[in-house]
Amino acid sequence: MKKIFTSILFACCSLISMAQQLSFVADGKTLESGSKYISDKVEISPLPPLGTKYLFDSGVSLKAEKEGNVIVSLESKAGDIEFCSLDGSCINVAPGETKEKKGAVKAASEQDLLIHYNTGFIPEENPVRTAEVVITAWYEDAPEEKISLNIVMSNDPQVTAIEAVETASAHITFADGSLVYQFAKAGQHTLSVYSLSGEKVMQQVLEGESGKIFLPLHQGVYVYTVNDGTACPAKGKILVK
Amino acid sequence: MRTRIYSIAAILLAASSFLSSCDEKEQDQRYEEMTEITPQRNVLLEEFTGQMCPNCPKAHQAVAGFKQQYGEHLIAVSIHAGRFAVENEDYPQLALLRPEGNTYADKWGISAYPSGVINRRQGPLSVDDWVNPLRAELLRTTPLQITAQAQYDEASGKVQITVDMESSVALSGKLQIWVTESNIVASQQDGTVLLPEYTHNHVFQACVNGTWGEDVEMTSSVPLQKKYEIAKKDYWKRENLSVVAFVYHETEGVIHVTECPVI
Repeated sequence: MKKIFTSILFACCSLISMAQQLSFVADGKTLESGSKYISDKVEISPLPPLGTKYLFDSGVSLKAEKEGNVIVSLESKAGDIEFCSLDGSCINVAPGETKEKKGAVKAASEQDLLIHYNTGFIPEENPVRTAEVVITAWYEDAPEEKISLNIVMSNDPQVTAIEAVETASAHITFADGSLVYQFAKAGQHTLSVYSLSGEKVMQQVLEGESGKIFLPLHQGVYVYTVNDGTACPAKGKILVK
Repeated sequence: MRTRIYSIAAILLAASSFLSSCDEKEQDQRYEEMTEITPQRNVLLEEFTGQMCPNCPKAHQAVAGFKQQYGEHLIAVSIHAGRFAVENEDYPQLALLRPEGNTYADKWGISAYPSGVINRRQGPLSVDDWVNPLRAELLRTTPLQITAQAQYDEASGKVQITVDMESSVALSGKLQIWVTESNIVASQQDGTVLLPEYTHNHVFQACVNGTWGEDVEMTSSVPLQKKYEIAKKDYWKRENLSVVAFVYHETEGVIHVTECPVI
């Protein structure tokens, strides 16, 4: 009897704590709050004689565990950002501006936030563009429980070639043919690199809190993970030209 | 101790079931019947929109629905403005932003699209919030009668407009006259899809008598007639043109409005 009621109590507390959760999702994966996500999705719409429109899509959705009113704030770091979700209207957030919208979410729901960077109709062919926005979301009745994400939307190969990852526990970038890493604390971190077909092409221990290693990879696209044995603090893409 | 745990668990269970049922309503209480109304006047709906606004086609559909319901009593004008509008001086028949569009959007503080301003008394409002203010405005009486006629003169290339007004009380305000055009085929973003050939209706095209109109003073029961003309632009199709004329007051909003085709 004691065990039954303890279990019920635990289940109730778990339900309540789960019910507080909001998370950002992209490509079916949950994105850690505070991390940076790079999207190279762009829809190209030629419409002569007006020109061609390039619509960069963040592809980021908001997942809500419980029903409630949610506030989403956008701060544009670069580029005019369109935000068309939550309340049926579209707003534009200019560089340097911060705007927020409020809307109702249902329990156990996921909705595309419809965050885009729109060039408008331009005469340029194949322009290279980058936009950056910081989004923050929270339940209206829980402003102390905010989640945030830094989104970069770009078709610049210099930006998208390495999916630079910054999380609370890891910072991974690429410079001069080497992978540069920095961890919140030293530990046993293992880098694994896979080809797009899933074949592991490289595995190496990353020593210490920070450092860099040369990547002896042929031309192509690879996926990497950095594992510390208990969690997966970083993962991303590498394009070797 | 055991009793205390039982009590806490019971309270938590009760609380969670109470919180989850708070917003549930009986099915038959979720819908409110809208009774039919008899419009007492015409109402102006300024719909702020843009060709690159993914959510705007829904507003266009809502306007079409309201026009079907209220007929000539609902006079809608689509004003393309802001970052979601398309501007191209070389192809104005395909790019529907006009210079006054942003001026009007700034006046009403339009920051979200689509948005509507109803009789310049209510708004800006999102589409979901239009129906009740529209109904309320349609039921308001007005002392002003206003009619307009518009004719295109081929020889001069001008649209000649006559506006007749009579008020049952003395009133002062501003008379504003616009040219609008329907059946314009141009692009429109609809959700994630760009529709290259979308039909745009009652699109604001030009002001006839200034961006904010002109002062008008009326004596009770004394008719007043005003005449205007405006050169038809090459890219306007005469058969799709209309003239919208309305008298408005800065604080009281639109006193009355009328619309007529250009024949």
